[in-house]
Amino acid sequence: MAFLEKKGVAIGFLILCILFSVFILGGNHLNKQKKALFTAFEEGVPGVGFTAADQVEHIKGQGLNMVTVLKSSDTDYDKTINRLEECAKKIDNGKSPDEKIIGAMEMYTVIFDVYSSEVDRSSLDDKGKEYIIGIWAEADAGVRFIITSGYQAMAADFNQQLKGFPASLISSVRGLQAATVYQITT
Amino acid sequence: MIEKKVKSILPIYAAGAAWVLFGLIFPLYRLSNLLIAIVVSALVYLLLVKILPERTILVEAPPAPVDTGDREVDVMILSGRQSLKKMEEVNKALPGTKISGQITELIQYGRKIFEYVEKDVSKARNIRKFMDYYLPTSLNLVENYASLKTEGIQGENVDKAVEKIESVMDTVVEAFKNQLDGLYEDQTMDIVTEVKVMESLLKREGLSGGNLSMDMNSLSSGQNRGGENGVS
Repeated sequence: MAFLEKKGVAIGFLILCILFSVFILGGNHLNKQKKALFTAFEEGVPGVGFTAADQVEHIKGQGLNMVTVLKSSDTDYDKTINRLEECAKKIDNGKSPDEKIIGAMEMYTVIFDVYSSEVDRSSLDDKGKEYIIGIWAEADAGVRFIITSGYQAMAADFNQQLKGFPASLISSVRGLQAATVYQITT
Repeated sequence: MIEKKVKSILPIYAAGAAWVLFGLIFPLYRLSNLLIAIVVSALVYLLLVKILPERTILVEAPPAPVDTGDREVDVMILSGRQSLKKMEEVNKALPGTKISGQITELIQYGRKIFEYVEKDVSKARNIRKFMDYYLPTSLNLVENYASLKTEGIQGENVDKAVEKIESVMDTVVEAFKNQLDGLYEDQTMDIVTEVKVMESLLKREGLSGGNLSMDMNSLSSGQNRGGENGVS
């Protein structure tokens, strides 16, 4: 094996080992971290009863309740109904916590739009309006839970790690994306 | 060939393995871990360099510096030796062939020619033609031959060229031999003259026998074959 005794070959092996360790093994560790986020989303963090996944489902449920209310009333909310149904599909089809949360947040936005427009227009009767307020309050609580949940804290921590060196380089090479983190602004 | 002590290559491989092992256990996307990995692999390398003994290998000796006192001759000798070195490299591609043996002979004669000129710079002018034409042409022939043979090209023209080179090689070897022989012309001439003087003195003193005279004649006839003109 005279080939292996060449210094150039040995140095090439060393360089390959370094690249493999940093980009492949280091990238795998980052992937594991991201998978841990999935677990945290689905199973929650210790000491907290609800999980972020539960809350996403809860928001979806509120959105579908709103669809039922709007469909049964004599209003022009067709486009809004479509948007709500699309958001429900997004949540169902979402393959990662990020995609599901994005669907839930969009749904929450539509719910909020209906809620705020009803305050001005009053196209629903009192019972319908009361129902809408209830839906919005439930969805709002769900969103606040997600934002303040341990999952979001983990996602923020993961993103922080991705910003450092050499994680930023590894993530760009391996195509790893930061997790979506929401903050309460209002 | 000279003996050379070289450090073992194993520490470099071990340092690479240390990176992989470390990377399997610790996440290397963290800068702190990356720095630790650098230190660990460096330690593994240094430790093994100290532990493992140096190996002794045979390497080709570097060309000896030429210093004849004449810059032009130095350059000529170095250039000639480089041509011989190239010829040697080409010869490696033709192991076990008749032409390989002939190339080896050429190289040996060539080396002796340059050794002689290095000792006696005044002979440099005698090998001018050898340097300007015979040596480069021989190298060119040998290179072309090796190229045609190793590339496995076949065809009428190629076969003819190969045959032609093979047939001329004996003549080329003879020419190199004569070139070397020619360098000894003055030396043999001096010997012959000296012997003739001695012979006549011995005769005059009545001390000579028949054998000495016969040996001198054969030396004299051998000397006449040498010289630059012997190269064809």
